[in-house]
Amino acid sequence: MAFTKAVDETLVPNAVREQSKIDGDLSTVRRVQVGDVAAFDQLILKYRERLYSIIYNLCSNREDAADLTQETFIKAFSSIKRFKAKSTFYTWLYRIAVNSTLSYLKRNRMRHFFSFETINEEVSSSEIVEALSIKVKSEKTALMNELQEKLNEALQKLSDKHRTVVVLYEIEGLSHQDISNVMECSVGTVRSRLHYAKQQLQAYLKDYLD
Amino acid sequence: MALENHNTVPKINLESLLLLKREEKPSKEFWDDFDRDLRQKTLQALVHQEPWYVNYWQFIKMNLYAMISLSAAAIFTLAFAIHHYGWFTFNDNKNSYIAEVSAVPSILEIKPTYIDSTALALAKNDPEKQSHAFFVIDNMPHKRVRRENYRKVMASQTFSLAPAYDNDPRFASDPFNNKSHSTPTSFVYE
Repeated sequence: MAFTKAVDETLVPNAVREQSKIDGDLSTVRRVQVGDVAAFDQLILKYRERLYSIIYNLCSNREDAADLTQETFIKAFSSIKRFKAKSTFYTWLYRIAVNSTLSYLKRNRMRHFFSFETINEEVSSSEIVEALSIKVKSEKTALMNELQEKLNEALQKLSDKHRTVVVLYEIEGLSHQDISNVMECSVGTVRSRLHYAKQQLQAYLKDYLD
Repeated sequence: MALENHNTVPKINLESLLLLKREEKPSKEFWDDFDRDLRQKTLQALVHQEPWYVNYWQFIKMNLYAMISLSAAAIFTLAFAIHHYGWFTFNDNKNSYIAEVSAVPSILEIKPTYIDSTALALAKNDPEKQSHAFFVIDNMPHKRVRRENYRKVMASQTFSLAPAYDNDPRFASDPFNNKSHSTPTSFVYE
């Protein structure tokens, strides 16, 4: 299906692009470690959107995601001298973000938020938005909202660890190896969680999927 | 917002649907607020002195494995020493003798079989005829051949030398049992 192929092509170059920027991170991190505080702003600018996206897709609340993203950067800044480059910087940073978010979700188990971001249809490159554009404007918005709502509901039904794997792999485009580094588990565990989570999502969303 | 007829929704696969989440992006105003808040929080973090217990806990976390290893080694060494040597019998000093005696509370009567000559000399020179001494009550073999056998003793804070009455036996008083005992012939006080 042409639609699926387009999605795959979107994912792969994204991971390659990430890899090519890793070396640049280390030199910036070294500058921060020797006291160049301003260099940390570069890392914030580079990673803030991706971190926010991960956290937002895990906790499904805009305000909490913003707070947790800021908290992640502050934690990273406070402990950056302990970063020994045993893993890549972004893996280390993502790990802080995921751990902070999962801890937050544990503490706030009973809270559920659904104040989702609105997709900007005019600038969106999503295949789904394009697919929906055959509909009239008002109907397209309704369909978009319903899809968002159902998808978010389905994601919220997953356990924290399964949701994390789905978010990191399917939405953020990280490799299995990177996810295993972020979550400090084996690649096999990542694959297994991903398989199970997608099965669950398929079941929840069967009315909307092929 | 629920749709009446799901047939109006174009069918897609799960991966494509998940990519929809990539399109949920905040506005530029959001990032302006975000940067301002983050700058403020970073500055606060820079001037904020963490309480002592945070550093203490971080130290423990960073050295956890080393501390566990050292504790295990210490426990092992202690257990080995206790098993191999027994409590408080590492050497022949006076404290070990006292501890040995305290572990034998059932002794009812003690006859002094030996009085330390140094103590005897001190007692003789003492106007009140008192000095420190050990009452040797038994000999105890030791596992290690190259070490001397232990003497099971009762330590007396003082022993008194009785005056030398005619035809009276020499005796020493035992303050532990409040008794007087005949002394060996080698013990002579003039």
